[in-house]
Amino acid sequence: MKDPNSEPAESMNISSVLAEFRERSLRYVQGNLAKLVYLSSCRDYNSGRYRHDGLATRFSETAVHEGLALCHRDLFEQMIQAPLTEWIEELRLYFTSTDPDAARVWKELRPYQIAIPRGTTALEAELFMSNLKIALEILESERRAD
Amino acid sequence: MMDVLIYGSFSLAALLLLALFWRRGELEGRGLEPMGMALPAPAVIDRVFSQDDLCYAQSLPKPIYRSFARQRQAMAMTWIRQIRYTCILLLRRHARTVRRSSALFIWREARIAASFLGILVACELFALAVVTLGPARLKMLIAFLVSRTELLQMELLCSYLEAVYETAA
Repeated sequence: MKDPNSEPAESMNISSVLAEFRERSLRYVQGNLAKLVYLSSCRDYNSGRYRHDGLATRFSETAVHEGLALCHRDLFEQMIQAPLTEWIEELRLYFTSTDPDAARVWKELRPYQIAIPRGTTALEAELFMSNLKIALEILESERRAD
Repeated sequence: MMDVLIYGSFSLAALLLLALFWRRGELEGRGLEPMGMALPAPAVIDRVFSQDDLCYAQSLPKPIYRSFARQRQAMAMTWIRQIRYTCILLLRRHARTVRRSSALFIWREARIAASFLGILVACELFALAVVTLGPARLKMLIAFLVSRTELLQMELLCSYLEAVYETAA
């Protein structure tokens, strides 16, 4: 028989995963876009499940997956509701902290497609991709002007 | 009597439109199934049709602005397809539920059919206006579609709950 207390305990675990992940990992990543990329790197390409070695030592696999999925969704929503000008700043910050030449690779290979969480509507996915493409084009034109 | 005629003709028109969409394969295809059912939040719609973003894009070099405008237009069409798709799915589900229920009220069904038809007509008008005027100038039509779709979803939910309640009783 299913333990009636197990569900609230699981949801408490998910909030703990979220709090710990935000405090210990995301806090040190600058910018929402970088956070989004980092979060999608925690997701297995085939199963779509999120994994995190640090969190796995303290929480169940399900709690880690649910917590990170929730965090991913939350960040994605924040990103797509941001104005276009903010996207340019996000990209600028991302490329400054990683590799300034990565912009060309991003334009060519579109690796940002993996940053879209599961359960996203077609319109949300399109808005994300479109804003990134436009922001990349703007950065490219700025660089050409320089 | 007049009301019966109005609601009756609306329902008939809605059925005809529904049949038309089924024939056009509007439900299946276009790659919407995996992400289709839920509609985006109003905040996302606001962002897609944002005046601030449009003004900013207008200040950019022409090729970038053109690319922005083209992509926003494509998004407007995606949104319309999503509304149609969701409404048709919801109505199908509703029809399946009420068919088995004893809580079938003809007035309510006619009202739902009329709302459905209203949304479909607004979708067609919107699609036409997006192509001719561009998505940024359609604020009222966008607000109408958002509120109407929410209303239809609520109405169908109430009717579903009533049918479930009736069956349980």
